[in-house]
Parts: sequence; C-alpha cells; structure tokens
Amino acid sequence: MGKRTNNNRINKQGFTLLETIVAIAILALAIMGPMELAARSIGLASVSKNQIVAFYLAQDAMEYVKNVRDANFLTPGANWLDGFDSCRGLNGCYIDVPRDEISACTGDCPVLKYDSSGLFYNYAAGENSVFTRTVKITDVAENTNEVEVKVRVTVLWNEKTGPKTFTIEDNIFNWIN
Amino acid sequence: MKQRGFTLIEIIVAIGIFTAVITMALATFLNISNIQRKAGALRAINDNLNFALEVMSRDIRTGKSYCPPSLCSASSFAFTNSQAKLIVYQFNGTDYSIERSENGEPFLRLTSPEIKIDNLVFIVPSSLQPRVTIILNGSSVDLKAGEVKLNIQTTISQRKLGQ
Repeated sequence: MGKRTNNNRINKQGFTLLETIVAIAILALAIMGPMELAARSIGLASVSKNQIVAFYLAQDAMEYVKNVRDANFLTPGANWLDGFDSCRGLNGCYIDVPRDEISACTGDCPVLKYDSSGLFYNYAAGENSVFTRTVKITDVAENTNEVEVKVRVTVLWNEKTGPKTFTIEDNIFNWIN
Repeated sequence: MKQRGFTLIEIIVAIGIFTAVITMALATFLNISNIQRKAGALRAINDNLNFALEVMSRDIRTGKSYCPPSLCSASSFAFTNSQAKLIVYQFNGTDYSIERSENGEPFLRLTSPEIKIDNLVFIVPSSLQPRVTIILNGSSVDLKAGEVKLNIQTTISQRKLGQ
C-alpha cells in the first residue's frame, strides 16, 4: 500500500524541463539526420551534373585545338601551331568554338556565356554561365615546340561547397613533318 | 476515490507539442521525397545525355565524309562511320528523342522516354579539317521534380586527316 502511494507521488511530478528538452533534441536530431543526408545527395547530384557539362566543355576546346592543328597541316606553308600564339602566353587563351575565335586572356579568362536562343556556350551573346574555360599551350621540356606541345584545358565553376575544376591535358604532336 | 484526469492546460500543451513535432516530421519527409524525385530525374538526364553524346562522339570521331550533300540539317547529321556505313543522327521533335539510322534503315531511338530532348543542334563549319559542334539540351518529363535541365556542348574533330 505504502509503495503505491509512493508511485503515485512520483507520477504526479511529471517531466522536468530538462527531460523535455532532451526528448525534443533527440527527436529533432532524428529528423535532421535524414534531412541532411537528402540535402547532401541533391548537392552531389548537382555537382555531377556540372561535372558532365564541364567535361564536355573541356573536350570542346581540346577537339577545337586538334582541329586547328590538323587544318594547319593541310595548309601549305603554315606552321603547325599557327593561331595558337595567344594560348602560349602566361594567362592562356579562351576559345569561342561556335564563332571560331581564339583570344588571349588578360588576367583571368572571361566567363562562358550561354545563349539560350542560339542554344550554345560562347563569349559574345547570352547570359553568363557558371563556367570559365582556360586553354594553355606550353612547351614540353624534352622536345622543342617544333615537335610536341602540351595542351591544358581547365574548366572552373563554383558549387555551393566551393570552387571546382575539371582539367584535360593532352600532348599534341607535329606528326606530319 | 477522487479520479484525477488531465487539466485543460496539460491537454493543450500536450497537443501543441505533438502538433509541432508531427508538422516538423511531415515537412521533412515531404521534402526528402521531393529531393529524391529531383535526384532521380537528374540522374536519368545525366545518364541519357552522357550516353547519347558519348556514342555519337566515338562514332563521328572515327568516321569521315561529314555531311554529304542534302543529308544534313541543323538537327540531323550524316557521315560514313569506320565500318563504311552511312550513319544519320537526328532529333525527333515528335517524341523528343535522338535517333540513329544505319545505311538507310529505320531510325532507332538512343534516349529513353524518361527524359525529353529539347533540342539537338549540329554546327558544321566549312573548315579545312572537318569538325562538328554538337549542342544538346535535355530536361525532365517528371513535372513534379521541378525544373531539371542539362545543356551540353562539345566539338568533335575528324581523326582522319583531310576531307
């Protein structure tokens, strides 16, 4: 009998503020955990999306460089690196592939624009995209630039988590002469 | 024996806390389900566009004779592949897909109905060494996933030297 009275007394005390706070904190943690995971996964999905775009933009410039080199091979009297002078400077160059233009970068290269009516990445029309593309051509130590040069295309963009870059590097050769 | 129930205040506070917690939990789960849907749509677009462009680039890079007379338009591209077959890639504006045809056979689609190709553009400049710039715009058909778009551009230069 005495024990039951004791129990009743304890029950009537209810929860303390501390208990309530701890209970709510645990609940909140349980809810925020999956939420955080989901938010992170959507963030990563966006990174992978931009990474695919960046990969193809880098390939875009690399193929253009190879195309210009091949066109130089086909032009009688042309040097195989004609047109690449601005890419061999310290800041590198930017290439507007749809407009067929190579220009030197002064300081940082300009941001690629996206022309939604023309539907392409270029430097003349449209809204700024998130991507900056730099093309640099450098000499290779063991070979003079008569034979081999290194082409490096870097695409830079900002994610919510910070800046990301994607780089393609390839050595092109003067294999025809 | 006097029966002690809950007081009105206790009930109100209990229901208040319960509501707050349930609202929070429900909002979270709805949010997660939305995010899940969006991530799924994004993955579908990434996979499809990446696959289509990868297949096209490999095929075109090793091919030759880009754009024989009257076989190309802004949204279709014809060439001879490394097996000497006439290949045509084109944009189908009716079911929003990319299609491929080999030696004049019927067109087969490259992209899944999960996604919508909004546009496919081939730019073939008159250059000494043939090249083609491909612009590909895709979006999600799942409207509940919200705005999910992917715009890709790449260039392919013919590996064989000369026209």
